Amino acid sequence: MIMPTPPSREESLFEQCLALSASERQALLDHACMGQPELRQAVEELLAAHELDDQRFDTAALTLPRIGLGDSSTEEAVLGVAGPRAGDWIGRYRLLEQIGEGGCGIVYLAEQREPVQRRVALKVLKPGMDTKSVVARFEAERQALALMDHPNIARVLDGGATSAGHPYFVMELVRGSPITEYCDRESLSPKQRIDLFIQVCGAVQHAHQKGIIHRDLKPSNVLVAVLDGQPIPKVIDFGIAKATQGRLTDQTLFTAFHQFMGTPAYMSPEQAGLDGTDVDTRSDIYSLGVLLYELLTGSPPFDPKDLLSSGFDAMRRRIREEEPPRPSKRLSTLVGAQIDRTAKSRSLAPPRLIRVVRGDLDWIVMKCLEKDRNRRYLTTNGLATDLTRHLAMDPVSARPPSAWYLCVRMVRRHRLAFAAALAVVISLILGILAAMAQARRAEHARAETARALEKLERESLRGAELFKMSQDWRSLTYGLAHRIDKTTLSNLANEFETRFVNTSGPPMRRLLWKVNLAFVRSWSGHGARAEELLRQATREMEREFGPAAPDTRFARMYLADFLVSEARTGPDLEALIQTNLIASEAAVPPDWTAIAYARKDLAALAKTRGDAEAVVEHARHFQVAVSKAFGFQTYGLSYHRVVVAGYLFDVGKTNEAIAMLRERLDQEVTFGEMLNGQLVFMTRVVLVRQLMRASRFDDAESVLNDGLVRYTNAEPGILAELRRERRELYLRSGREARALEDALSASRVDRGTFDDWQDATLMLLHAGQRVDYEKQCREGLERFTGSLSSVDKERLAAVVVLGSTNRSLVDQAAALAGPATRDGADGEPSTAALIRYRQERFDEALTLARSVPFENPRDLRQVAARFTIALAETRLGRHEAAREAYQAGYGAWQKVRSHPSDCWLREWMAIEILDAEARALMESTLATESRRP
Amino acid sequence: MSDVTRILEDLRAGDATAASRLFELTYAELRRLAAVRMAGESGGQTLQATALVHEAWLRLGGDDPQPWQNRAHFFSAAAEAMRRILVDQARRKNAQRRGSGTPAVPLLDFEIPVVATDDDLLEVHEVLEALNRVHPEKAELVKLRYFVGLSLEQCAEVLGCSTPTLKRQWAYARAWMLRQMRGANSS
Repeated sequence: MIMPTPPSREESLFEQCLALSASERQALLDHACMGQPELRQAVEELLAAHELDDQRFDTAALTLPRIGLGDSSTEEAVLGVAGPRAGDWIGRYRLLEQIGEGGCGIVYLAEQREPVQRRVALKVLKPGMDTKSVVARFEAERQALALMDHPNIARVLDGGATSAGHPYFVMELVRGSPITEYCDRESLSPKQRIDLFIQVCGAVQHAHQKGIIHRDLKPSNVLVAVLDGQPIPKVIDFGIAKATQGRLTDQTLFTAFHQFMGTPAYMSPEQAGLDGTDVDTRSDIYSLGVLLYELLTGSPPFDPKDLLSSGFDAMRRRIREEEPPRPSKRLSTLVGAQIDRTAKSRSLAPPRLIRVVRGDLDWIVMKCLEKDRNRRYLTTNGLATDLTRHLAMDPVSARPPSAWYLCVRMVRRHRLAFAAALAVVISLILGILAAMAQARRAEHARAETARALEKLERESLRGAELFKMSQDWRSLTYGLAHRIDKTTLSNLANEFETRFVNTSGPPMRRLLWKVNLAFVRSWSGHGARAEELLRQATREMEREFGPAAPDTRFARMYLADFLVSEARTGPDLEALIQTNLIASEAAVPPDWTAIAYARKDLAALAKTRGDAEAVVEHARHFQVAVSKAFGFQTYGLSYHRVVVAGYLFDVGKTNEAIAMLRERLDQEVTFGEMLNGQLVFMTRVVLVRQLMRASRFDDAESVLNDGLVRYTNAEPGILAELRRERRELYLRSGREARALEDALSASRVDRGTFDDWQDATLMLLHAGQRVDYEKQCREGLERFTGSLSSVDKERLAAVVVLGSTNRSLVDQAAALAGPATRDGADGEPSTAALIRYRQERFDEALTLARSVPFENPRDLRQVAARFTIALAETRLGRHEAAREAYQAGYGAWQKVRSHPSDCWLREWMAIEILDAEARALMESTLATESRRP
Repeated sequence: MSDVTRILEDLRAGDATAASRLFELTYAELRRLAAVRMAGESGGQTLQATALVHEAWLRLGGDDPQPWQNRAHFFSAAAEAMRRILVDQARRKNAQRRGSGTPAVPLLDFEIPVVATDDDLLEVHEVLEALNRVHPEKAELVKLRYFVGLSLEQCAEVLGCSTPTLKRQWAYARAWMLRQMRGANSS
């Protein structure tokens, strides 16, 4: 702060003169400025300037009409201890009657006289809050609130403080009941409920577009009013949760639960987190998911009473960690009167209700309820679209994972190989440690870890390359992170921290240690510690070198990037990134690496907001920065290109994304291929998928072939994925023979994977090469039985029973499929049904196949079940029933075929095979019977 | 603890870099907020510096119950940041208008509507610099009033002075600056 200086002569004379008349001034100056004509002139000029009618300084440079709160000075009534009563005035509003009382306040029917006369709802919050900050927060949000204009949103009109110091809000008056109550009272069917719910989504979407997050969506904030016989849902209390909650500290959170929320059942995991400030639109999507869950099943995913009784910490843990049962599962666990009541209020019989909810609705609700908000719907619109699609029997996006998601999953699967490639330098140490950890000799492993570190230290110090050592150590632990248990990894990090990080040394060295240690901490599941380290590093650098110095930017860059990777959002983070962006742009020459990182992170935040144009903009700047960056960061940046392209895909900017990936591949030759083979591979697969989706098959093929040639020495899994993509491509572009050839050649060599085998076997059957198919089945049962996961075992069984009538093969497959599938108890009864059919246990097959719902004909398993019914009924001689089932299945199947989607063509082949078999059997049976006398 | 609270504590503890960190943080936030506001408003007519700064305070996670005096550092940083933002904008527009060699890379990809003309703004900026050299505490006051739009009473709270004192200081500062401008224009 600036210390005030004592007033100068000039200043004190000027001030004295101001209080005097013109002649008195002259006298004073004559006397005071004797012999100092300059002082006199200065003061006279000041006085002349003072008289100027220059209003430049009288208005702020940026000043516009003040938008005030309800003027509390006009308040005529005082909010007494007993609370305001009918007839009292609050601001411009006269209270008419109390119409409600909730956890957070009392709601009055009130009358506004001016500027318009109307009735409003006025909510006075209960004491216990910092009124000033509530009002301040409300004012901050007010302009945005004023922009909301939607038929399903009750507008917030005004807010302020009563003269007794309680915050109040004035809202459009809605006379209605909570949506859940309304639906139950009117016994609305699930479809009618979803129709209402979609309108609610529209309202929330509107608010989100205006930058308003509700933060407290729950049935009592979604009222249904009936207008001209039509139910109109209205979302109330927008902006109020924000004003009343503000920063959620542990204490306010606790208070919030009891005071305002009443129930934490609608609160998203991130709101229940320790740092509840990091809330964005996806928190509302979570709450909407809870609401939909309750509309469908009669209760929220977590029982509010249970939650509250489990204690504060346990409650938060449950919200953040416990996976609630799917809605259909919840319904099926309800007993007796409960399920009867729930079903009756939905105008359906209990089994029918469960069937309606199972499948798409389960998926849609669970997608909203994902703990990781990145996996939820990006926008409320997305949720509404899926619901509309579901009502129209179209495929929903919640179900088939996006290409991007598939790709990320794939990379996760191969992470081990990726890590190993990175850790080539230290493979020896890695081997020892992995072996130790595997043997679970923790003590020994620790000692070995220490020894390994020493060795690493020696090796690296020989080159006097501290930086390299730090990087190597990170690579080592990255490799270990996926091979050893977290405890050992933590020990390793501890060891490292005491040994190096806390020692003194040049700041740059400390910085690198900290950054690298932060990575390792986050891999071993200590995200909070990682964050702390990065913040510490940033602060230290700032202190040491100033806020815009290269090392500071470096530290800040990693901090921001880490926070973004942790799916954080919010103004703090954005400010941090902006700070670094500004500093990096201002540097001479500009710090392109940091600029690229900042742009990437800003693109991530924009993606989260669903702001497609901003993503494109940041991606463009990102590209420019990457092309100018150089040095050791290039590798990381090239990886981030794929990530940024993913953001573009996610917001629907497909062409931009393809262009970006293309450019990436074109530059590939100049990069160290071995090191980032995995990334390049990922780029390729994402690009191929998008090109296929755009029906650019030739382009896709050249990208794939190029990759297969390049990666001849790559890890088998990578090649298998590429081959599989290529087969998919062949099938989609109508080159079935080519696909078969490819699959066969792949599955015949030792390196052929289970995927290769599956494709080859199915294609043989599809092409009618039965002998080869059975041979292939036998080989598969022999080769893979021991090594597959239970899911893959079930897949293997499915491939075998799809075409094989050989009893011993069928029995082998049935044994392999495991009890779950054999009994059809685990939601996958279509395979079980086919197994039974092959074993000629037709009645059991029918029971199982019929248990597969036929709600969404686009679900190919449902289609398969219809064909299985047709087969079994034919064998039982019930031709009418068979024909009916077949026609249902066939109709659905035709619909699916006419709309190619992302689903694997492998599933298509399976359906075509079953279709052909069912038709052939029905025709030949009918022909035989008609020939009979 | 929020960033801004932490920085304010650092400042109180005498950390020399804290002031510039606070400035950076505030600058970035104000710029962002202005951008958001400008993007949201169709005519761009309702942007009020006080509201903007206030919102920045809340968004940066300032612990609200703090009395205004404790936020003096923040307001000081905000005033400086507002000044920087507006002056940069005016300079850029000026440069573009005059077709000088300054590249047309926008610092802000939006324009904040300002009551003052660009020339006025730049002139005030320059004379404020001059005032700052002689009477830094009065320059501070001008910044708070001119760039954040605080009333004298609010300034008094922020700066921890009485309103009459500030009123006198304001009269002097205003006259001083006008004198300076006249001098500059006549010479």
